[in-house]
Amino acid sequence: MARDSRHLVGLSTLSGEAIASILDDASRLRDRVRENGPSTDLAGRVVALMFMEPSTRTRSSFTTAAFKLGAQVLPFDAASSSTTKGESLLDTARTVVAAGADAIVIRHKQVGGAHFLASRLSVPVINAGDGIHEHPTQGLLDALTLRDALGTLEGKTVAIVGDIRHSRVARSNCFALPKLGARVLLAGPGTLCPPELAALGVEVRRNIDDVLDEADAIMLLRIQRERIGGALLPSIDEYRRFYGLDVERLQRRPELVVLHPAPMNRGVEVAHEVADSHQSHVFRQMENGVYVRMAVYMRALEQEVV
Amino acid sequence: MSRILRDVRVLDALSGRDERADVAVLGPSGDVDGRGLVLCPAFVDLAAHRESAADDAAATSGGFATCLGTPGLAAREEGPQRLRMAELTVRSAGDELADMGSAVADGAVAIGDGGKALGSSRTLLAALRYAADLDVPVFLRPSDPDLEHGGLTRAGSHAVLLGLPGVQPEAEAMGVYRASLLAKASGCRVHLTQLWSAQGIAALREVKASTPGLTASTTPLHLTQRPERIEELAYAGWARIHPPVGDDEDRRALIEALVDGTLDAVASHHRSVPRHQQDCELGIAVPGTRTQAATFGLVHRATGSLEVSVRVLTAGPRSVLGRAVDERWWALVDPEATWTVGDGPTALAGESVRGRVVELVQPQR
Repeated sequence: MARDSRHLVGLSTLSGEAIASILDDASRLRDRVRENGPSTDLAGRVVALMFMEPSTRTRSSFTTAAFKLGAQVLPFDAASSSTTKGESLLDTARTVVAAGADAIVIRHKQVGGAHFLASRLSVPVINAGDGIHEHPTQGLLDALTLRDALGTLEGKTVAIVGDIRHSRVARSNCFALPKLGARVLLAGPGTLCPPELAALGVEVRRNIDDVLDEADAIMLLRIQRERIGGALLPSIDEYRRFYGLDVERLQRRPELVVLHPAPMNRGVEVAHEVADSHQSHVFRQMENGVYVRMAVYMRALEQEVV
Repeated sequence: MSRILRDVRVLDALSGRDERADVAVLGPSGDVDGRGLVLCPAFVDLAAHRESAADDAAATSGGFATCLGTPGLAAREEGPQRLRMAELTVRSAGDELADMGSAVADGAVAIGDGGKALGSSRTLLAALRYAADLDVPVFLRPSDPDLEHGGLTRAGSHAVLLGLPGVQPEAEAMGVYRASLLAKASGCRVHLTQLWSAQGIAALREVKASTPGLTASTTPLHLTQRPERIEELAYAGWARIHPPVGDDEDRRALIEALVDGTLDAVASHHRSVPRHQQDCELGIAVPGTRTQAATFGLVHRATGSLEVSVRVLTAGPRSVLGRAVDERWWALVDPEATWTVGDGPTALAGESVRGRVVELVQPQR
């Protein structure tokens, strides 16, 4: 297991203090960028973006974060890379390090892919999503957005609704939010939110109405269309009825903070009007993603945020 | 020329003999202080792959003089006796019956598809009906492969925390019930392998007495390894074990079943996997661990009983095979020697074990 604190493989192994310190750094960097624009803290450093799975949002966010710190990005296209010729992940990563990368950002469909690399490489490894396991920078940007919106996470209740079982976003949130003092409620159909998820130290409820009234914030997860009509979910209509956040439900909770890791299925887990309402923080999440990733780069490359 | 093992404890689970004696064995003359040592019939391994001479050395150092699993090499002076396993279905794919009659006529002593569980119950019943005439046991890993599909660790809290797809223990219990029902329907003698869950053991307890000839075994890894080990090994490929290892309750159930005889035997499932197939991410790794040398020590550590450990490695596997094996060799064991498994990156690296096989010896007749 990677104990080297330069790595960020997951939030399950980070302390509450470490998480809060990254959020503080991200918030300082945000102030700095807003005031002075990009900096040159990481000038001359190279970060490799190894995205072995498709990604638009996370990849562009990591890219922008690097640019705003003056770092160079070594792009890596899985489709044309040597992994399609049968090279192992470890050899590909070693090649990238030999080519001069000072840090590696990895997204990989295998659970533990980032952990494995972190245990074998000399440079820091940042997990941008390993299968259904963890997506730590998403967990951090969600925490930052919630902290901004609620003032603190201490004593707050955050509900996460939808396909928890296949969600690395939900898992990273479940690891992080309780360490920052929040209570986490999960809701979803038994196929996607089974009772054993309570092992994460959270409460498992049934549907959105079981969590709506207690929650200070709610995070809606994207329902993947391929899950519908199979053995996991009967239909979109049924999902919307029991798990979707529609206008009527939102009106019951005018103070509720609404999050979504995007891309959204408007009209399924979140109504169009809800997604665009003033209670929706979806686009703030994306902006915060850049600052959180800047903070993570600084930590990985051992630069103090001043 | 003979060596005398002085005052050694002779523990023969086949005959029930348990006494201290001086035993003459082949070798350079001299006396060996046998106090603290145990002499028992050589171990029989119901599942061991052989890739190279290193595997013969592992078998011998683990006290195994007879191994089942790799197509037969003729009996040799050096190395263990290798017994042949015939395929149940072609390439173990579960679709068509293999030429098992010919394989048995040519010397195979058991039939099976390795760790693969058959998907089709219809094919399984047909295979067992066909095999019933051949008078050798059919080895099945009990599972519902559809329910098990894609799982990398035991379902439940560990799978949730590790973020890995889980295998429901119900898959094993369903496999046990299915195997028992079809064994009875076909009249075939069935041996269940690699039991790993408390649910599987509960099912086995329920059906064993009413299923003629049904026997079962587990493995040293399933008796000792924990799912948390996957995280300790940073999700590296050598942490992969299939079927998955269970939780504390599962391991307790396996140990109880060995003690009370519900489980007949422990088989090493020793397998040398090329490094490049395990020096990778967990989900794409080929499972397999070199377990033979440590098997006795792991079983002894898990069960805490010398008598049980000897029984499940000697009398147990012999009763499963139901035929004579090479009985020239006996295992000289130091049951309290503690040591640590080395041998490069494997699921067992750094594991401490209790008991070591000193050597295989041939008592003089």
